[in-house]
Amino acid sequence: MKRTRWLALLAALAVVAAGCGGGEEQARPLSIMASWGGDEQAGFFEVINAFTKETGIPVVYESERDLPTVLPTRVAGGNPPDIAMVPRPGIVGGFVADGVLTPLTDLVDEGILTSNYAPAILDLGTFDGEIYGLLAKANSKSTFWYKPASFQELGVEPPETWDELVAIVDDYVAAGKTPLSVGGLDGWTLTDWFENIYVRVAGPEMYQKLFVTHEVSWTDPTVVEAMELFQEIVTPTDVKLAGGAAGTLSTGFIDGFDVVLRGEAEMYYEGGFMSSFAAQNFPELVGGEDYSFFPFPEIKPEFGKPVVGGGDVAVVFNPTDQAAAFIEFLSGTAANEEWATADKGAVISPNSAVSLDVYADPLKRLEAEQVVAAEIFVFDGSDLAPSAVGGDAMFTGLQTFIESPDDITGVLEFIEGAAAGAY
Amino acid sequence: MSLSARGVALPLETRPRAARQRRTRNWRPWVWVLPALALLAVFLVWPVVRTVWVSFYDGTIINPDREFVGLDNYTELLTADQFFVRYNLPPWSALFNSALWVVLFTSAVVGFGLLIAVLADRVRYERVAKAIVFLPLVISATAASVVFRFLYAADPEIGLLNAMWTTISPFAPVPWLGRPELVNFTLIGAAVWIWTGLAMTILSAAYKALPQEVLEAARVDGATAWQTFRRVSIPMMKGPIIVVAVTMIINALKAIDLVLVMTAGGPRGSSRIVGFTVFWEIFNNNKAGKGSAAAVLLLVLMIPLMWYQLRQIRGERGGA
Amino acid sequence: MKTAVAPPVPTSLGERLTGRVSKGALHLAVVGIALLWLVPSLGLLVTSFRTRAAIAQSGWWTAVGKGGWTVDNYTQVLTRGDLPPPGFASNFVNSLVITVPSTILPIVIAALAAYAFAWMRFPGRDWIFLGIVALLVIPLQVTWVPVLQIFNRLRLTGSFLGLWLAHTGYGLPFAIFLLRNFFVQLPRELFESAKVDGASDLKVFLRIVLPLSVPVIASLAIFQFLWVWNDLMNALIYLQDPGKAPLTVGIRNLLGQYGNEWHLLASGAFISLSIPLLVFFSLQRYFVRGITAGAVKG
Repeated sequence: MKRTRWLALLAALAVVAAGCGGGEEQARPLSIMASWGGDEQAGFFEVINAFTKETGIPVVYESERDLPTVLPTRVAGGNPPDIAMVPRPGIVGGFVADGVLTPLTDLVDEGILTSNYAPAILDLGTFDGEIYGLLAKANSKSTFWYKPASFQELGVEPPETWDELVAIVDDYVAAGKTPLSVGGLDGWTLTDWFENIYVRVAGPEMYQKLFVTHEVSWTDPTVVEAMELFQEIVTPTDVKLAGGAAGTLSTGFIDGFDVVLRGEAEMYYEGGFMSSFAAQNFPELVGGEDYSFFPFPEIKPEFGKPVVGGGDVAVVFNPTDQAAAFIEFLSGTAANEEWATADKGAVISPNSAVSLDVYADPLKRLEAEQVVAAEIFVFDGSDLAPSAVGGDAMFTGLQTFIESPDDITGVLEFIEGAAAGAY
Repeated sequence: MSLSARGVALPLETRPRAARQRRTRNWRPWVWVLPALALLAVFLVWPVVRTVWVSFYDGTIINPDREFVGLDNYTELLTADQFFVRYNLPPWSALFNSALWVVLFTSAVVGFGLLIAVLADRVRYERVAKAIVFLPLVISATAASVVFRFLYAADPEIGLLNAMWTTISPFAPVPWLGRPELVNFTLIGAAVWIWTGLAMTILSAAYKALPQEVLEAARVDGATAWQTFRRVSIPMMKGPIIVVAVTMIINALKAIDLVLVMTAGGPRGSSRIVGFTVFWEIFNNNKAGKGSAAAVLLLVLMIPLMWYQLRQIRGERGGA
Repeated sequence: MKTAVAPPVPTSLGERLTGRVSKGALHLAVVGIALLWLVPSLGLLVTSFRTRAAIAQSGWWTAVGKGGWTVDNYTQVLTRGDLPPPGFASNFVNSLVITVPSTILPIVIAALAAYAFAWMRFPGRDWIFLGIVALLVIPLQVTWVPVLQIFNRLRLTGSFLGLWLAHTGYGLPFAIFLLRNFFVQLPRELFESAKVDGASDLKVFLRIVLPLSVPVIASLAIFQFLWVWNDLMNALIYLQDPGKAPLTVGIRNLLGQYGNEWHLLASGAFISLSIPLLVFFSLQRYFVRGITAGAVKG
């Protein structure tokens, strides 16, 4: 008797749940998937709310921190989101090759895109001559963090050239301090170092050829030259890096910066987004005063100071009218200003029509200026390359380099080996 | 393992009436197993079939059958530096690491689980002690990563182990997760902390279910406590112990949460295990074929376990 | 064979050990192990009450002197800050809705199947069982795409029913493995006597096998509940609807892109684990000694 009741209850639950599963026949909301949660999500919601207010289209936002895992699964499974914000253009290329994306120019007028964004920015989302992705928000990874008070004590100014930077590092060592902290546990911090050095040594075209098309091999003399410069600044590791090689390889990218802010090291190289961690973890310090950044110095004058940057690229899987409306909205000034001035999760917009005055935070303004004014803007190389190289071999190779900085040839041959099979 | 210490097992076959009844009822067992088989077929068997098929192609998760490559994925895996032999280092390869996990992790979990199950049984605060050991299982994988961050961090300001280490010894802080020689043991330690609760729960249930009369009989016959434990209790608990051991071996092979969250296979690939390779190849390197091949290899690695289980079954049936 | 009525003499192994080794050593061992296991969890607990800045700047064991205490982390998780609906309560209910059926269903189905594998005869029985054992090793990631394709065709995507079925399917190998190996150990005589009395398999199963299996089933229930309650990926892949998101997804969405909100993860973990811990404690009473003692008398 009791059992039958149980079964009936279960059956009822099942029916109700099954009924709840399918009904989406009313005004079809736009589904957007991105990897933003917490504060970033709050910021993005200001954009979404503004969009819904203007167009009346409801939006369902799915926050997927495991986006590189979940998104391909959903696409392969047959029900992708309408729009996705992909953190790596390399993945976008993969989707284009799989034939699951719609070119943005099919949805919005090309003029809207070209008048709002610099060619370098639009190129990031261009594959096979068509614009598939729009850079929604950008950040600079060419920001070298330092402590102004510490520089004053040492009696130096922020360096403009590589040689000046190396001299500062040596000065710190002579003064008995640890000049650098590196978050080597997260392999991509090392790849960021390398990318900045390489683009300044070989220029943006060689950079693209190394990462995107692999026309340049990892054993090329330009690569060796860049590695030798890298070697120059980090060796001997037990003197120049906080924690030495072993400590570096066990320290994540946020911890690495904390080390500097706690006073155990002096300088830290990573992207502009590091300021938000400083603000969260060391709220008593003032950004711009206690810590600031200078642009990654130039190496060869003909290339100046290119910006290596990152961001999320918006792509469209289901070419609906709502998706088109959103892309148009996203490329407009209103959306970008809304986003740049959000209470939480404010971003830097790559949209060139946005005035720099909207950025309240001085560090953010500096970074925005760097991004929008960049003569050369290249995307993070490890994100451009196929995952087997940029997400795997490069990390492993460079981490090995930190451990044995003398074996440049071995490391480069290893990466080249992985690259040979990946393109 | 039946409790054959207690009486004679009467084979059903010698009873004519039962045999006759059985033959006319042969469809019954299928009703019992059908729901299970149906669900297993959909959720596990069919994906396995597909995975084997994909492993012979070189494709992405979206387009798995882009290009037929036959056994290439397998040969690539088995000769690859990071699967079989680690570049430039002693063999910290995925297979080797998995072997390390299987041996160390399983014995530690079973050992500790048994120890706690037996010892805690005798103290008044048994429930509290068991709850403490069980707690790690309740903490989700994401939260466990937080736990270990504050334990293993290289910076003695943040990591407890290093804080203790630098206080006791004059040496520099140890990068528990940063040295290839250490990282696997560190990870295994974390996994043991998490999983012992499962072993403890099952073995405790089994231990408490031991029939007291048998233990009493042994004691009356003059056996010491240790002898009783080794010669009577453990053999009687053999079934659950095997189940726990097998489950832990399988965990060692396929559970990737810990490795993924704490080291992402690093440093330099030295903490990869086979299960991790499946995930990494498919979702990170976008090589669905290679990842599927690794999954198939996992199935192959199961063969010794299945053989062992088969032997056990034969033993139960008395050589049927 | 009649068992002699034993006088109330301590007979368990634990008591023997006490005899040989002093009680002190026993307590030392148990307390020692418990402490060893407790320390990491304690670290998490302390962390959950510290401010974000405090966590970044010093170790949790120094917290007692330093201050930086707060309950904000818990408030933030419970109210989810300014994030849009669904709120915490909704996530919590979703978790329950997902977990309870996903625990009951596999146990029921597995128990029936395990009984058949243990005590019934049908062609291929042992080989099929071995196949199920092999399935234990399948990493779930390889099942997502094929299952999602099937779900899409059956319009089960985004429904609780689909997720229940998935969790059931995934939980069956372990459940069947555990239960069957337990059932097989039960003494033959039990079945003998019942069959002689004319009982059907179903009756034997319900009246004899199940009551004897209470501790194992309780263990299984705890694990399955735990596993489903803490599941993240399957809910993400199969449910997709943010309105149906369970607690694990809700907590994860509090994290920014770099996932360094340790303070929220710590408090989220403790809020979340309250329920499985409750289940663990309430099922403890089934781990009672002597359930089989006296079940088979003469």
